[in-house]
Amino acid sequence: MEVWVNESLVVGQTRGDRIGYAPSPVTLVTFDDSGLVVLVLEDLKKAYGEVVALDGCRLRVRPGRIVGFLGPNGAGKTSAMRAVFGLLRLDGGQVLWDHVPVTREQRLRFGYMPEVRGLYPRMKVRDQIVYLGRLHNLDKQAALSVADRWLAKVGLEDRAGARLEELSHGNQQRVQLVAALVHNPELLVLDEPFSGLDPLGVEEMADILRRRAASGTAVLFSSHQLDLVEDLCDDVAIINRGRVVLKGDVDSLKDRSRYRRLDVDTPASIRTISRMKGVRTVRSQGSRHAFLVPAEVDLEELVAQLPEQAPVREFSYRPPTLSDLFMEAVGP
Amino acid sequence: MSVLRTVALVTLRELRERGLSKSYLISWIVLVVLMAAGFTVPRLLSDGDEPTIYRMGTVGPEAEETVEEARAVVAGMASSVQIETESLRDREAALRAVSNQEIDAALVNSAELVVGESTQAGVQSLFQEAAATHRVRELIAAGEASERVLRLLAETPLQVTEAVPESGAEARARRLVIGQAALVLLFMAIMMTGSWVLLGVTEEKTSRVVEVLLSTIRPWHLLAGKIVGVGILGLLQFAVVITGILLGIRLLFDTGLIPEVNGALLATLLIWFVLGFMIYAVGYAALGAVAARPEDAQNAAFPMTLVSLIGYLVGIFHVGGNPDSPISVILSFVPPTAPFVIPVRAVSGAISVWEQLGAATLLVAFTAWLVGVAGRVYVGGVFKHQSRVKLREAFRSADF
Repeated sequence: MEVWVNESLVVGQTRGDRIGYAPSPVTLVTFDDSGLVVLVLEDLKKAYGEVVALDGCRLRVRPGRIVGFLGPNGAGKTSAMRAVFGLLRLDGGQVLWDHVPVTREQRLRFGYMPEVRGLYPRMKVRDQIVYLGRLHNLDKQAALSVADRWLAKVGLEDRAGARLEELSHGNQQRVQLVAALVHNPELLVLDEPFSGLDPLGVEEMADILRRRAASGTAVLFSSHQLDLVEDLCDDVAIINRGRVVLKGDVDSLKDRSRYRRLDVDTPASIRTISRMKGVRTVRSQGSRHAFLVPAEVDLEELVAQLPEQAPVREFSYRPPTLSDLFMEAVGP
Repeated sequence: MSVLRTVALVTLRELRERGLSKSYLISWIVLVVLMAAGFTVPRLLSDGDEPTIYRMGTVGPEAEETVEEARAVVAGMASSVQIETESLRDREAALRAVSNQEIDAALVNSAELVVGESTQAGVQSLFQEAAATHRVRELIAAGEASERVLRLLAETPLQVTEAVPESGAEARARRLVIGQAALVLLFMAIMMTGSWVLLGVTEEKTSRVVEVLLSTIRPWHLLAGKIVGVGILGLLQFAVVITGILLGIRLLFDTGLIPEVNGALLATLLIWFVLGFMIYAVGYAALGAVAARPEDAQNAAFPMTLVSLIGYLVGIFHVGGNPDSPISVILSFVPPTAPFVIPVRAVSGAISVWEQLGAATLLVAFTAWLVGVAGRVYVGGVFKHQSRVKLREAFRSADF
């Protein structure tokens, strides 16, 4: 049986200080992945001249988990992902798989979808997938049958003989995903897999990722669509300036945040709240206001700040959203 | 997965995708049409195929039989001779007709051949042979000789060697032409096949498929597979064209006059095609990786193209006429120019096999060194998309 536990939460805090959970609520274990095959980015460092891309980046991805990799543009997401595939020479640190430095042979068991998509424009869809499958060590028969199965799964079986360039943008994306999946990888790394997809495409992609994870694949993907990440991911890792500054499972991160989110909808002035110590205004539009309030502030104290005369149409106090966490982690 | 299997997979993809591509098939059609035209047009334009006609007069039925025998002899010969006959009343009429040049020669019964001033050189020997054969046939019919005699007569017991003095200038001029023609073909083939590598690399870069590929296989697996695949397609085409041309020349022309067009020339050209292609393919692979767009590829390739042009022009304008000059010798040992200089010198007989082996060894060693440099430039260039990458920058920033 696989046992899942929470990873440590906030960088700078002692790791392993938190009790996690497993699919069966009675099994409680402390965090330990020594028996698991995991991807570990260990203290990755990379600079391009003056520009520092990775500055001690640390991250773990476990089988069966979907990890959302977040960060502002230029934070180092793509560099970290490319490091997994040996596409850049690190100045320091290493990438481990199953507790040993990852080898070329092992990378054949990884699947990669780069940020800027790319396949042979003039090659036929099916040939292309079979070729990539064979480069990943599948024999010809296996590659053929898997290619056909995947093409059917994404609804492209009737375009198998078409050249890639004849397909619509969305369908090219599907082919690209199939190309990353054809060899049934143990680790799937996708750089911005949702960019450029319509809502149906997003749902289809998300569904495929969920299924892969459910079947035991470790999935790491980057995205700027935080709501999507929140829906899809088990864990998130937020990277800023080459370092992972926040990581863990989404719910625990929210619980652990030093802030709570307060949404208020009232026509009256609520300046008293915004002036409270430690409160940050997230948004203030007409009668709708959103704040991040320090977790230690008493809820009753907040309620007391509400105007007595004016109506309050909404008052919600809850853990911060992923977007709040993100802003908190990478904000100024 | 073994390195060999990876390289083989890349090679097979090149062979299939490029080998079945429209542009490759079109290049075949163009070459075949050009070759066919090269051999047929000059012959259509010249009258060289008109048969030689012997106008013969005959006196008496025995003469008719000898003519038939002569026709049988002519049918077994390579040259096209036709014999036209005209019956004459008697010997007097034959003498008159020959001296008036109404006919070329005349047979009187089976005993006499009348020839004149304008009688062709072959007539006498042909009819002597025909008459002799005819008489032997009669002896066989009478049981006085065996068939073996007839077979002996049909053979040519002596091999004929023409000892015509050849002037040195003539031979030099001929070798110059053959060397230049061979060089043009070789240069075109190396440049065309090299440009397939150049464009293939640029295509993989600009379509970004290279990132997917290199996440799985090493850069040199990809390059080796591509160069071998493209090389096979190029070599196939070059070998067929060159063999076709050399065979055509030997079949259509008197081979004694062009001793240089032989199997050794074919082998020299094929070997130096492979060697030259190796250098230029490796260089072009690196330069294709620094180009920003396919349209930019030829510009990026300019340094390499310039080197090849120098080799080519020196080969055309200098080496043919001066196969032993210091420049010719030195450029034979400069790897990028050797493929264009050595075949020309080989045609002139100015370079020994050992010298060729030495130059080839040097070239292979140079290529091995170039693979290291080009590999770094390739890796440093292939992921940078904004604009043309400077060679030095690509080399320095090679990332893995």
